[in-house]
Amino acid sequence: MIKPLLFLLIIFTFSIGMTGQASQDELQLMQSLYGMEKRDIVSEFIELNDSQEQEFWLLYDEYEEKRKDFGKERFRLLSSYVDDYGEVKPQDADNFMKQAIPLRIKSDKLVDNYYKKIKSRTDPIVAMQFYQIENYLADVIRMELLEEIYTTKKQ
Amino acid sequence: MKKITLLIAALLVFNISYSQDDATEEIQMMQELFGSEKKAIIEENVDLTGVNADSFWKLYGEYEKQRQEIGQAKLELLQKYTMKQGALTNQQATDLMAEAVPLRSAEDKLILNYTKRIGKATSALVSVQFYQIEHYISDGIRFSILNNIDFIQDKK
Repeated sequence: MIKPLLFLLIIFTFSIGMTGQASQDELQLMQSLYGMEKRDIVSEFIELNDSQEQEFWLLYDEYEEKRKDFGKERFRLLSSYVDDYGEVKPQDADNFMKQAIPLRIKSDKLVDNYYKKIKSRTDPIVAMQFYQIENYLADVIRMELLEEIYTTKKQ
Repeated sequence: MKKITLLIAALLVFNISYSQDDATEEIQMMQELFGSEKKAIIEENVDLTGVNADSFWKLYGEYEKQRQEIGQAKLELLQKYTMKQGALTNQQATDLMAEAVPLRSAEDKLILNYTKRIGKATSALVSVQFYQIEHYISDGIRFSILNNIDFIQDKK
């Protein structure tokens, strides 16, 4: 297991170098943060026995397919917001929120939904690990992106 | 943003050390410390120029009071499970999630509710800044809490 504290250090170190890179996508960002593919990160954390393996990955791939669309959307939205920052009008702010809020809700619902599916087809501990790692990675990405907005704003 | 990074780092250290004695008192102390530090962060990141600052702070105070209650519940939950000896059972995982998931939703709903109210009382721009900074802080806290749970990795 990769030590959590190390994670945090890596993330804060990387946030300094992230500015202006909103054009890269979420999966690339994750890879640059952790040095491995998302699927590999997940498989390191979640402990599955042989009988759970197939069922879990089937559900996970299904989940990931849906999540990727939200991820792309979030990047697009934030890139446009970062590009416009400095000249944000109240109407732009309002438009941004009208897209950002439903996106966040949809992403969270997706995790909740697959948490339940995984729980019923594997076991509660596997499902909890899924919930934790997915929220952890989502929080990291959200923090990174907001960090980027603030850094851009201050420039 | 450096301040927030520091605050989260402090919280991380706190999380590691608090699971000893007097945890409840420590949680309260942390909440108070965090609350006043947090106000300074908000002042720094929410631009109240040209809007009714009084109505912002009135709403913010209301919001913060409710957020602290959720924060308290989260820390108590975390404390309950990190202090358990040995590996988590399936039943414990189910019980923990039955409390953790609604807490997460409640916090998100609270931010959303006050984003709307602040938007009406001030401006759309202020409400975006409120939404972003509050989520930034709450994501940071969740992140440091999840770091400390160790992903219940030791079930082997």
